[in-house]
Amino acid sequence: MEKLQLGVREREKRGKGSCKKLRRDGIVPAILYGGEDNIPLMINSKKLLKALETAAGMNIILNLRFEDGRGHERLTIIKDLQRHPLRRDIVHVDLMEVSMDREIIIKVKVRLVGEPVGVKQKGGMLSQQMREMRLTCLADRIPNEITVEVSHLDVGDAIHIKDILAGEGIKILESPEATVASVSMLKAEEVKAEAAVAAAPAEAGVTEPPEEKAKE
Amino acid sequence: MLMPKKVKYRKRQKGRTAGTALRGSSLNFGSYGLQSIDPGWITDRQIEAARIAMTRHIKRGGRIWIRIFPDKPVTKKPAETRMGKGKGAPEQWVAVIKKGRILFEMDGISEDIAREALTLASHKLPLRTKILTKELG
Repeated sequence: MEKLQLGVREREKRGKGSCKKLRRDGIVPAILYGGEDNIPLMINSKKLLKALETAAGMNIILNLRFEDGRGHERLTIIKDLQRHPLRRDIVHVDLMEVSMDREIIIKVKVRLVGEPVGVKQKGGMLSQQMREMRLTCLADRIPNEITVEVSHLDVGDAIHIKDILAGEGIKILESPEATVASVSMLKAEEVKAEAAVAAAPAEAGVTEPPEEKAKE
Repeated sequence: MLMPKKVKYRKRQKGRTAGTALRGSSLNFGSYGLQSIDPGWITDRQIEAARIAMTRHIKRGGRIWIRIFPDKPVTKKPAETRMGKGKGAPEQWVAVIKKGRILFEMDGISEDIAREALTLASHKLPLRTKILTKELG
């Protein structure tokens, strides 16, 4: 768990127009909830990006310090982060107040470690079905990521949630039977289709007019 | 070639592609993806050509997801025909693309190979694109 102090200010003006103006000035609109009241905030985007660069990533604990002196310090986690679909810059942040002695529900990334036997020796394909998992723990026990060892997996094998040891004080909230990663061979049909594509490159661009195939 | 099995109306109006894609603009299946940064139409042939280019490059490793579907019919009048006399016959199917839309996703291969394959695919498309990885998506 990593903890970082972040300076914020309370946002006076609400609505789309004022938020757009803030973004033009390099400030990210945010909202704080989970405590006594909901407070609209504004955060310097450079400082926020720097806070997200730590190993904890999205699961960092932010100690909010009100620069305008209006409120007391608050411990928060990032509950949601909206990015612009094209520019990928941060458009809005949801911050949730947490207490160190209360359990919280959080999503943590899953990282696969090692190259499976089925991939190395038999040409299988490793697929990761679960990229992040929900877990519950105290705020000071949030792991940066859940690492799953996959080097022993053969073709047809899979790792499920029940096979994972999350650590002390951490409880995984996913179904025990849910698959995290598996190793499989390509289906015979897919292999055949790929072989056909490779054998007949000239056919690639030929099609029938849509009128004949898709009538009412 | 991708096309709808059945449609309610055979011919459709042109429509507009202004704005940014809000849905279908983040990576949901694979670790790498190709995102459109221009609006436009992508035909069924172009999707197929891009898919073949990617499949051949990655050979038998990895998996590809096609995130777009050509569900819009485009009509064309026959050559040397005078104007009028109604709308032309359906000619091809296109997918309407807004900027920001994820077109293809890939997984199960190294980043280098994925980038090469997606670059090859982008050469088959009529729009400018960029490659996304899961960290950014």
